[in-house]
Amino acid sequence: MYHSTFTNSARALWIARAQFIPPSFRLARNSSLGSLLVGLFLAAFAGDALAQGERKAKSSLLQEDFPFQGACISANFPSNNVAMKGFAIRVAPEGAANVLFDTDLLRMAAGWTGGYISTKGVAFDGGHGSHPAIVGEQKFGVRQGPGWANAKGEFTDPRAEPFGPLPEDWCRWDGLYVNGQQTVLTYTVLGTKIYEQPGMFANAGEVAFTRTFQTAKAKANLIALLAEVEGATVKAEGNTLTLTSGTNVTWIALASAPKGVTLEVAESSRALLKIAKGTSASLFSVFIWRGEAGNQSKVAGFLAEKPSMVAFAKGGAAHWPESVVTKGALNTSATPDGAYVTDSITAPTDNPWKRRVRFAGLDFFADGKRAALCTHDGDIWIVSGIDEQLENLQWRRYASGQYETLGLVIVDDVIYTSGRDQITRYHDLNKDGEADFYENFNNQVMSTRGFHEFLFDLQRDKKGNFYFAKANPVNSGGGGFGNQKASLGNGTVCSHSGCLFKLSKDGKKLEIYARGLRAPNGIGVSADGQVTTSDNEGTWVPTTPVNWIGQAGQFCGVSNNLTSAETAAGWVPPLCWLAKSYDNSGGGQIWVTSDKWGPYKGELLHESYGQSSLFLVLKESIGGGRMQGGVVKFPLKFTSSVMRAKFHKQDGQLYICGLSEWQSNAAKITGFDRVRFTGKPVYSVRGLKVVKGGVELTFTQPLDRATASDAQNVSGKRWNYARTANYGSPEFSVQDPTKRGRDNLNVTATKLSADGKTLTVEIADFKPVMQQTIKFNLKAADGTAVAQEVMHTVHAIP
Amino acid sequence: MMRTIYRLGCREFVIAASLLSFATLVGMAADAKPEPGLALTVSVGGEKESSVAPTVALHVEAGKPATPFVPGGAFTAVWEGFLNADLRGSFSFQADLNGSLKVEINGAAVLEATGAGGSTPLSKPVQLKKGANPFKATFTAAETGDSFVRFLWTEKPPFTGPVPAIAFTHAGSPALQKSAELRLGRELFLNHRCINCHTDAKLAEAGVPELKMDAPSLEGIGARRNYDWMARWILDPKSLRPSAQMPKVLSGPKAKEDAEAIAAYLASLKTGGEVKFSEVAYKTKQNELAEGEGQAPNTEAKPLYERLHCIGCHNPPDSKEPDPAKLSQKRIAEKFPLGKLAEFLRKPDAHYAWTRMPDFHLSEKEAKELEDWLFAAAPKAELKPAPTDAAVIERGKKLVQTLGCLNCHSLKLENQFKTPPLDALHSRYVAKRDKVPAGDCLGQTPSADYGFTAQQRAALNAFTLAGFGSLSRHVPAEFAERQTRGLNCTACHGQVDLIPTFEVLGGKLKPEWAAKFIAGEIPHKIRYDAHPKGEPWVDSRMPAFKSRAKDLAAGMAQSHGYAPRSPAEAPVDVALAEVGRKLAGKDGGFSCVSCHGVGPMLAMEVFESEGINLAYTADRLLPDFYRRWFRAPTSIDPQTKMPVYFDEGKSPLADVLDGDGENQISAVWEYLKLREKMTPPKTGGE
Repeated sequence: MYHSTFTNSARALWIARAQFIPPSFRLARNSSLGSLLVGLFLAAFAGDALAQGERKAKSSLLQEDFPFQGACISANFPSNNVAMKGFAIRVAPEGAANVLFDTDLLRMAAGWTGGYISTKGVAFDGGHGSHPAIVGEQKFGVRQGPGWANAKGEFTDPRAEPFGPLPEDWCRWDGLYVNGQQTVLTYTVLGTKIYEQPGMFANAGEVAFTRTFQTAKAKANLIALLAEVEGATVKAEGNTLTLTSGTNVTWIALASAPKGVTLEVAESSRALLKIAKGTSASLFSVFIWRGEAGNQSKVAGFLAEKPSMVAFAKGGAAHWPESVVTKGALNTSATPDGAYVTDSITAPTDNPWKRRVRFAGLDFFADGKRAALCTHDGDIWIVSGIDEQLENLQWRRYASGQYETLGLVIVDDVIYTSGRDQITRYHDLNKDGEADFYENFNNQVMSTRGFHEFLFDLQRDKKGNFYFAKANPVNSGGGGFGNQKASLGNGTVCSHSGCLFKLSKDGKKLEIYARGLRAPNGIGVSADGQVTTSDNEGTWVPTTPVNWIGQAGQFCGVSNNLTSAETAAGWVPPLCWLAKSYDNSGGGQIWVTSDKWGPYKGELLHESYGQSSLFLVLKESIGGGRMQGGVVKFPLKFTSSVMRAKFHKQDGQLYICGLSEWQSNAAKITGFDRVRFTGKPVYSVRGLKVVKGGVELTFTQPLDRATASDAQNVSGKRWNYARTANYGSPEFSVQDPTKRGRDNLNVTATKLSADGKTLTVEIADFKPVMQQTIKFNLKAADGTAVAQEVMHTVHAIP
Repeated sequence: MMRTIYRLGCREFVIAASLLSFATLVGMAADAKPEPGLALTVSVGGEKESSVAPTVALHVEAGKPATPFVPGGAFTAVWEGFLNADLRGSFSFQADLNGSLKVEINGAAVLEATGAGGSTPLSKPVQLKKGANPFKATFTAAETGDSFVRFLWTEKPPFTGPVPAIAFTHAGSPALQKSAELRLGRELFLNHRCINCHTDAKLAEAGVPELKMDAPSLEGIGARRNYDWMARWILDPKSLRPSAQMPKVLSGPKAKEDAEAIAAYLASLKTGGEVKFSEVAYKTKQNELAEGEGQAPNTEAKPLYERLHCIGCHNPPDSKEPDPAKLSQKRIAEKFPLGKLAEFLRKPDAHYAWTRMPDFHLSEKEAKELEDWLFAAAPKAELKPAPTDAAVIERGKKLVQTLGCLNCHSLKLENQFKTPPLDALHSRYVAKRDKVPAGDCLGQTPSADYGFTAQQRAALNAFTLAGFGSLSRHVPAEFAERQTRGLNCTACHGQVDLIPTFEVLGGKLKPEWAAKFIAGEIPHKIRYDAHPKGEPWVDSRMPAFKSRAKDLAAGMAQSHGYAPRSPAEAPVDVALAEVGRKLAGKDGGFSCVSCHGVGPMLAMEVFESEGINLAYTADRLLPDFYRRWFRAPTSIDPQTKMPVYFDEGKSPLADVLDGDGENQISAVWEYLKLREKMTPPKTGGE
């Protein structure tokens, strides 16, 4: 029997649960063809090992025990057969048979045997400029174009750019169901709801792919593209098509087809499935086999089988019923005044599934006891036991197989994530703690082949609008952006590249809210819809900015080859720039909504991915919807980078998660920390205002008048950057712009206000500058040391 | 004005620092504005000399001189000036030391110690004022062994770093002005190869390296330079290149005719100058594009001229606003015959070992690309052909033999030129200092006219009067300072992305490796010029300065207080190295491999240039530097992409070596010491 080759206990477990065996597969097994399958599995292993090439195979990067994985995936034929938003779906264990479904075009792009997909790409082996490809022997494929014909029966691609979904009234991707190891795809074509379960049928060394359809009454003539064979000779016989090319035969057959469902061939090469308008609700299967002439008889038994579809509407048994239990740690670091401490919510990095855990988004359920976190690896974890002591943290896996989920929000206890392909809404149909239906909430965002087209973050305003940002398709080495001619794995600049999006509450309307971003790994949205983003140093980004989106449509400065000169001229400078030592790679922002978190309610916080740091943003309006300001650091230590944050509605404390992948000083691969206010007095600068001849710094506590009035205790530096198409910028002297480096500020005097809380720092030759630091060694009136540094940008001086 | 002079000096092959001080001497003595560096006075017995030193650091081998202007032996060095703090604060000091050191700040002794090769204890915290704090450090040479000192500080004990040059200033003084003039005179003497005419048998054996500086060989010169250009160059070198060091030796009505005769003779020398190129191809890319991988983006490449930053030293041929401090290439098409510029660019030192033009390891294709680019940008040259009249050529040959050309330029031909030897020169000047003969090099109408300015003449006079003892004292640190200034190292270092600032290099690189690197004996770029998938990363590359490499490397190390030879390395602690390997990996480590390759393993996910391959590190870096860098990279280079992992000695990886940052840094060093035997660390996901 096939499972005699399994040694992995986890896999043996599923067999015991008998979850993964699809109907057709079960049929095959009943035909006593175990030896065939053993052979197939061995071939699968060999194929995998060979295909991994220069990088060692990393089995845990792909799951053997879960039926799909989302990614940009390329197939071998027809040429340019790449699913920009693909799901590689296992239809037999161990990669014995798989299909690739393209959710933009609703096409079954390929079927193959003898492997799964390669682990190339930034979310898998970390490689730049590449993405997974199918591994094994491809059996069928269709070109990159609509998988279903339009109302006129044509397959012409209507999209202005060859990315993103087809028009919704033609083809709408609705989502997928998972039950055990089986996947049911669901979509709507020309108003007709369709469920489709991919499967396989094997006999005597031959494997055929099955597509089992459950269709509603057809509201229009529906035509699906099944396979393409160039230059074939075609033979149509009843419910079968034979397309012969050389010694290879592609054999397509219909099983249990009702009246109105037929097969046809177009242009001697394209096999089509037709469902006539008015065809009643049906359940039938299409069968696709490719092999040497004469062998199709080995799988012809399929035609006698009655099609069935797995029960998907009520969910299936849990894939991961076990919990991973961890214990948190309190007081892992503290600010010098003791007002803020960090607590670590230990991540389930050591788990029975050997899943890599890299948290990239978080939110809390309404009860406040549980949080959901998504990972860059495409999983969702739910942790319960978030309480004061963090002693019993229970982690459950909730969903998997997603395409680089880097943002998560919970609305009415329903989880939404932002992935490269779409905003997904998850449904646990049988309340067993795992998602059974992965619903496409909105997939209008375009995605090309670029490894760097991350969809970052997912936030909401109080009206319920969603916000997220998409990176530009940065080239493998970091500079410039992918272009159509030779981009391949670097992707292609499209009209969604580097944009920040606003999505209506109902998921229907997607609009570009800001543009001109490079790699905005994190945004911030206030309740009333004020949006901020960070970005990452690179082409047109001299150093990390904190962007304040003053009005819809704002251009944040990054031009690509689609950016008009007019757009580029409308650049709105950021609230502030931050040098590498502060933030070499920005994360998200969060508004302080809690009144249990010290004196900062209503303020904005900025997160640094690269320096694993949290900053208070010191800001002021300079009119016209523009801001200027800077930051001061909370000197706390985090388990990993600081990338996404949420305030907990009940305890009022700040929770932060992050991951370590690209340049970061993050200690661990992932982290989940709480920044807890202890109630002790806060000693810190909390405001910065540019005045004529210098800046006013406001403090949380009155300062000691003697030290504050002595300019010896305050110093600073300033410098500029060059905003160019080069990667980042050196620092340039303000005094001599041709020289690199920083200039010392000449602090001529410091004056303390009557209430002791505002210090005016007078600076000789004070002028607008891209970057300035002010460092001070002061004392509060009660003698507590106040030694900090602020880094800020001066756009305008009153 | 000071800045302008400095910049000009920096780019021209004259003497920036000396000129800077010299400018002070002639016109700005009363200006009290502090100048960079400290006043350093070195005394041996009754002799002493003052100069400007960037920091409190030196390394002097036992018995060798600490400066060329005092003899070797037991010496005292006193640095005086100001220590500048950005902000009032509390600082602790420390020194690595063989000898005795006393440091006084604001009039109070803050550190007083005698060391025997190790670090002194950290001083008590000292309050520094914001701005200038009067500073004095007195070092007494060690009784045995090499003397050295490196002066360190910190605001956050216990981890110290060298007090950087930018923190020190000093006020000018007559003693400094005098020494600046002497040093300028000495440098002019060396650069103009005075020793080639005014010879000295003893110096020829054991003097400073520049006494052996050559000039372009004349063997086969006719095949490498155009006649027309040579004729004009010989007639008046400075008319073609204002900074030319070759004298004008022809004057009077027949000068042009003579120059043409010499050029005609030289043009007839077509053979004997064949160039042998290196057989080792210099590698810039890390690997070839793998099949099926992404292709290079379709971007237009910048000209090689721009990518190699030629503009650091040159005005391009079509320059609209030439910088007078740079060498013009306007006449490049007049100078080189077709193909010979490319040949020169591929091996600039083939006929002139001490050429300032470095070897960029150009491939044949690259050299051709540069030649084509330069010729296309240069004004079209209408060149007169070389006369072939045998009598003219013969007259030219005679002039070459009698005008002194062969004192500097090599050619298998009898030299019939005679000049007084060095000792005679000195004694003549001491005796007749007011009556320099008009025809002498420093006279009113010199027969070999170097075009010296009044300041330069004064400096050469002062140097001659002081005697030539300093020419016998080779002090590598002083050589390195002089040469790096002359070679214009800072036109690229600190000015071009990913080329480190020059100031740190002596305290960073192992001198053995630096010598090889400067000599061009490391046959690959240490940073790759392109991402494996194509797009350009680091255009620039370190060119070779072979003639100076060894002394430069030694001098740079010594000027930072390090020995010119690295001490023997302890054997690798294998167990600790394995911990280091884990720390370098992604799985429970610092993810060094995200940005650094390890031997054949490529960096995993890096933007804008891969970090330097870790297998090279132990050969490259001084252990002190490695520790400081890993501990706090932005304190050395605020713009580095290297993340800061440690906080006051604490590591974020609490579960390795008890979270002790220093022990973790040591463990990674043991791993790095395995060099090419390093087994790449885990990359996560296995």
